[in-house]
Amino acid sequence: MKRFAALFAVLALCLALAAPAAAEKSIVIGLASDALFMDPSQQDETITNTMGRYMYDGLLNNDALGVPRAALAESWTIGDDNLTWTFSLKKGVTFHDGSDFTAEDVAYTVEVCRTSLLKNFTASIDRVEVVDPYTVKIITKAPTAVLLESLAALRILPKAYRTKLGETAFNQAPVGTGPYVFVEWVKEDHISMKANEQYWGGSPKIKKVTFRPISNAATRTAALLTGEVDIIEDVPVRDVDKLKNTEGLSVVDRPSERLIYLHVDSHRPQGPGIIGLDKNPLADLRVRKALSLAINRDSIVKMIMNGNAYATNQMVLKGRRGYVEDMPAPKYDPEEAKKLLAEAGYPDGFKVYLDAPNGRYPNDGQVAQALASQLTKAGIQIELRLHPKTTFFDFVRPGDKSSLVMTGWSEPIDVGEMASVLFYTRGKNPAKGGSNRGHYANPGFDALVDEADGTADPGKRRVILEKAARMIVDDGGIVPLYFQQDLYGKKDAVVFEPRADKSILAYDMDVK
Amino acid sequence: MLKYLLKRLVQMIVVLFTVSVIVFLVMSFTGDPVLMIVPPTATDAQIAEARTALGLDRPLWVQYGVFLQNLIRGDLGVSYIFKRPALTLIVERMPATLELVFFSVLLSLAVALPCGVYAGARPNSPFSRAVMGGSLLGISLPSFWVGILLIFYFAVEKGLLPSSGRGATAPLFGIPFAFLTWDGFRHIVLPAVTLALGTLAMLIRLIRAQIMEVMRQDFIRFARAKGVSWRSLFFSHALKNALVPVVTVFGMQIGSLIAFATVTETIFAWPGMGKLLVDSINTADRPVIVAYLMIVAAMFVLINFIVDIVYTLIDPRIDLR
Repeated sequence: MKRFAALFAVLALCLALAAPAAAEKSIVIGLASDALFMDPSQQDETITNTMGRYMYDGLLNNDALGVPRAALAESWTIGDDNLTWTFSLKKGVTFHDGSDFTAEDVAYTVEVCRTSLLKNFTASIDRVEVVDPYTVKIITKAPTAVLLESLAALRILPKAYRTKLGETAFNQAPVGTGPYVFVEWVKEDHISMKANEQYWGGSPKIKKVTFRPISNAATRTAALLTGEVDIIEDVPVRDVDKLKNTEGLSVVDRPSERLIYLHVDSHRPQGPGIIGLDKNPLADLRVRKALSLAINRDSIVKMIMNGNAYATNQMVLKGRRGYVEDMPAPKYDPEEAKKLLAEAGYPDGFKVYLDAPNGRYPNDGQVAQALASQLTKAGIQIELRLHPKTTFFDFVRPGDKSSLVMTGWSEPIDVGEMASVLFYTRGKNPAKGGSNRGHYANPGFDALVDEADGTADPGKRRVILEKAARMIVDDGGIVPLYFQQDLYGKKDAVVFEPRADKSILAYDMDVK
Repeated sequence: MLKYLLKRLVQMIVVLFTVSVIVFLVMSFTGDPVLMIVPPTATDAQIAEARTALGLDRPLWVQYGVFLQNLIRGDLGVSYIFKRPALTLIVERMPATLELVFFSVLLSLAVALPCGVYAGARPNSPFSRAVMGGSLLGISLPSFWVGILLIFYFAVEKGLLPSSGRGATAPLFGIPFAFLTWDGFRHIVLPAVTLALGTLAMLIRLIRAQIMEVMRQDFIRFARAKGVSWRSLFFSHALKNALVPVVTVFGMQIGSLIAFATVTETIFAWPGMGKLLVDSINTADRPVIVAYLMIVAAMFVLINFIVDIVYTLIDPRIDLR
């Protein structure tokens, strides 16, 4: 009888949960994967970062376009040395456990992230000085124009609470200052949060948020069609029309930060990926020009990406530093390509391996196949090597295996960050050029990157980076192909604007 | 009996040891986990540092030695991605998988036994033919296709059942189970049917063949001549004799259902350990993959052992030695 009563109680509870709460707005979000961590200092990964934006704040929070805006920091000044940044913090902000947010928490967060996977965001910081509970000084090693962007990536952790619980327990019971409060995380099943009514930015309109990780794309679409979820990310291209044609549902898109591009072995006298030649044709600028001219980006976008991508000659999206307003659109001219190849001494072309991932990015394998056939037609005969995603990045590490690599990069800050990792001459500076898979080596370009990294003035940095971006694209050190598209499916009742960082933030949304 | 148990135990250890060697070797060829866990902006020094921290800079046989040493202490390693013990991650998700497999097994038995026996006894009836045709479909259709089809028909078109997830759970002995709540039970139906389909179809065919074979034997004729009722003839005389190979296959099937519920779990976003395996393969999270395969191997060995015991119960002529 007792068990019966328990069962009854459970059933009643279910019914109670199923019944619509009176006028309390809630939303169910279908994600493509579960979060890895609830502790935002543990991983730099899209879903974990999204959780970080729900439950925590940074000194600055990025807006929808990815521009950092004042959050826990009320204002800041930079000293005459161009190194010392003084931040005054918001007063009266409390963590979800009721404790006050102070400068100690800022210093603690920087220390934690220094040894975690977020250490790239703290690399420019020399030390943090707590002046008083609401003033903190951050001293950089060198003038750093991207400090604000880096700080926006650091979500402020509660020092006292987290040290008391320890890393593992904190991850199961996270506490921050953000607009939503953690309720429950059942791995791979759901994450639930409720509104933080005391939020300094005003209490959220949507009071209850549930995330459901549904990794199979067709199932995710089905869950939206049945109404079990209100909004989904990563709509598969084949389902776009179905959702658009269903009453009450709509599809929203925006250019993704992820660029798909080619690394070109542009400076080494011999190319390991060149077949049957003891010199490297790609070291000739005319050949690199021919490479870009031989690619029909529009047809790749149209035929393989179903129109859900944006052909480009840029390295970053419009609005980011290093986007070049008057950069000429990419040209497709296979005849001109053949002519340039002949001029460079390869009238019959040459053979080269193209290394590309299969299953890392949407349709990447097919795109690589299309590239191979287009390039081969123009005389650059491609031997395609497709790699599974777990072995791809290992294979294409800078070294002695490849000369032409198709890959993707998602740049959340600006061309400078991207350039110093991907295109800075290898071996010159241990902190730079780590993933320079094309072994691009251009002292003029390096000088611009260094100059950009040496200024604390974002405006100056923008000018320098535009110059750098133009230089490397003209030089064929990078061959940009297209930006991917972020696609979301939602109920019409959901008010939603996609963000540059791909997070679906309930705080900025509404349900009608 | 004791001698038999000891022999099986030694066998089990040998099998597990062999599996560990194979798994470890295969793992070392499947991509570099270090590049999966360092940020894309990592410098060469940071990558080397991470490699040392994980012990991946040492020669393979040293890594294997360390792994064995830890294994003996019951430590299957810590996930590179989640930074938690691999065993905990798997055990956490095990109830969901076991629950799903339990219902699939129940369903396959409930359908396969009567259908198989009937089709074996009356091979020429239209119903038997229909069952056999259906079972052929069940064997040949891939489960990811069936799963999506079921979702689109029962959840999207008809709105009868939820499309995915596990729904509400209620605790039993402190472990959350979905079937204890109505909502959770509704969530189990489609994945359980999808998972059961292949096993069910195979069992039907096997039971039918066995029954047909047994029905031709002399003792059945005697029983019939003696005037044993049809029902008793089939279910106690024929079925019991037909059952030994069925139990073997069924045991193996339970093992594979647990091990390879992976596809079904991924389609239905069922939070079980199969999905953990897929995710871990994608991120080259070696400790979790190795731990998972070790546990699955142990399960197979255990199930086989149970099957052998069950033999003796069904057929006292079989001697465990």
